[in-house]
Amino acid sequence: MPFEDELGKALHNTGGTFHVDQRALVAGGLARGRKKLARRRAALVTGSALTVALVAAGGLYAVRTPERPVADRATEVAKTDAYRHFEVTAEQMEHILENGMERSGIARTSPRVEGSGSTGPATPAKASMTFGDGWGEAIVTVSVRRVDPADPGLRKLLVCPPEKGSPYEECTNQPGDRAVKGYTEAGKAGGVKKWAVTMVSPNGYLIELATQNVQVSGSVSPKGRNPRMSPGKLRHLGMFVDASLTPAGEPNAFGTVEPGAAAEPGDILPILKSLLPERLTVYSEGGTGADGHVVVSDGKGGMTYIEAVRVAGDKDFWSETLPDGTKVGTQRVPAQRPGVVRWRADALRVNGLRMAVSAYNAPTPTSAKRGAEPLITMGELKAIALSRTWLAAR
Amino acid sequence: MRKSRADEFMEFAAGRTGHLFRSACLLTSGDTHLAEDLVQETLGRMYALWGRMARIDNPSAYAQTVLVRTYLTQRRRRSSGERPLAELPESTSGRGDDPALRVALLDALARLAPKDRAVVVLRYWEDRSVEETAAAMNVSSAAVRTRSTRALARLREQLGGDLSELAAAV
Repeated sequence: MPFEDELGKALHNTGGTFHVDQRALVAGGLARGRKKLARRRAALVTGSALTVALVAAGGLYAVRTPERPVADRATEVAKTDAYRHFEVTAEQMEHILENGMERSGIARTSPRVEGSGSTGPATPAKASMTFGDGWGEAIVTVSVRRVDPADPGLRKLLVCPPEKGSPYEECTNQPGDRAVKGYTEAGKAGGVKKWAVTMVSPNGYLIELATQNVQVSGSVSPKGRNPRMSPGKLRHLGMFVDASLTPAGEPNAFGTVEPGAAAEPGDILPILKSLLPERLTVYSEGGTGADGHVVVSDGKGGMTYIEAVRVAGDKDFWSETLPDGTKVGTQRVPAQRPGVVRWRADALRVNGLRMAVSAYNAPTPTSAKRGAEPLITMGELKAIALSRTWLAAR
Repeated sequence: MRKSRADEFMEFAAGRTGHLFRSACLLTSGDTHLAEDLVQETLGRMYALWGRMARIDNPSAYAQTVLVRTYLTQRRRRSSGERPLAELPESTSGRGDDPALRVALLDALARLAPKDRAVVVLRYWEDRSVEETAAAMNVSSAAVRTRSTRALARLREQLGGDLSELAAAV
């Protein structure tokens, strides 16, 4: 046998002995691809503006574009006038709805999604999905606009109308939202049922969700069946929409990630990463379902371990209660090794979700110190713990 | 019906990842950590240009090309500035489960220059022609022939008769 042929066979025999968890590699590749796309898109947007400026300056410079838009940060705390800002694209709305439906557990065949964006608080951003649910066609719609949650005018949207003369068979009130079940305007003769949920997010959004058991323009007879998305599932979808929008009026990477991703072990790590202040560079990361951690570095030798954990229980830790009932507490304690400190911020929501976010001025909780203090401030830790995005974490 | 970019990509990736990984292992002469990184980077790049994939005849072959180019780029970067890793990659000699001959082949591959190794993998693992190899590596056909001859001579020198034994083993 010629040497080349032998080599070919030997290579095949040797190459064939390597095996790997392919799903992990595909998921990793997908994540990297999405980052590349996001960077490219960000570069397109900032690039067009920057090119003008650079050409005017008479030189060409290498420009580092931010990996994620600035508004994607928990550190951006809502201000009163923040409710005036709203910017979301049609594609982002479509992704939010698709990702939210992905978690609803409702089978969807041939889904078609349409969205429209918004650039002003008065214009609602919308998305709708038409799909086969196994019994026929259904449509789910989402509409979001910015509101000041303190506005007393919102109350009437959240309170059920008097039962007499109400077009709804059922209507329930919960703190912060209202759900209805009943026939559409077409009346019982049309047989089209519509279930809807209206919610107000403390982040300053009015979120309206509805589902009908037939495509509005469709010819399929609804046959009196009920929509598969129950008001409970609609509420859950609403929560996902809420978690996908920042207090600053823009969507975050958590909700707008390209739909169809492989199942991840949990959302804690991706959410933690999406909430980190932008100046921090992630050096390594890890986590299981219920916790996630990153190691960030300042490039000058300083390293900080930041972890987010979902905690059970309500052991007294609290120093402050926010208007929506969320309790917050912070703590600074020494860690195992000399000079290492642990800064911790916890938030307990009224629904019982408790998130603990800690930072150590060391690359792991048990290693030697790298830097005088953690590279993240207590205020930033608190903002991360308080993010509403955790509400949608699996 | 709209099939999402991710769905199409996942379908493609699910079918190709195993082979890409094996190629990457040969390119990195058995450094599986580096190989995993290479494959993820390759898949990431494929995903980023997935929108334009309709214009590419053979996405599988293209992925292989992307893998080799990514590898060569990384080698260039590594020689200019080694990045610290949290853990040291396992060396090939640590692969105790491999028969000695396979280790010998991987060691012999490791001693080749990165570009020579890329030529060997493309020509004799991927069964690409000289011209295809040249196109994948962005070099001339003559350069591929030169590298090919040189690499074969070195492998023959190091492996000698061992190779026929390894080729016979299944």
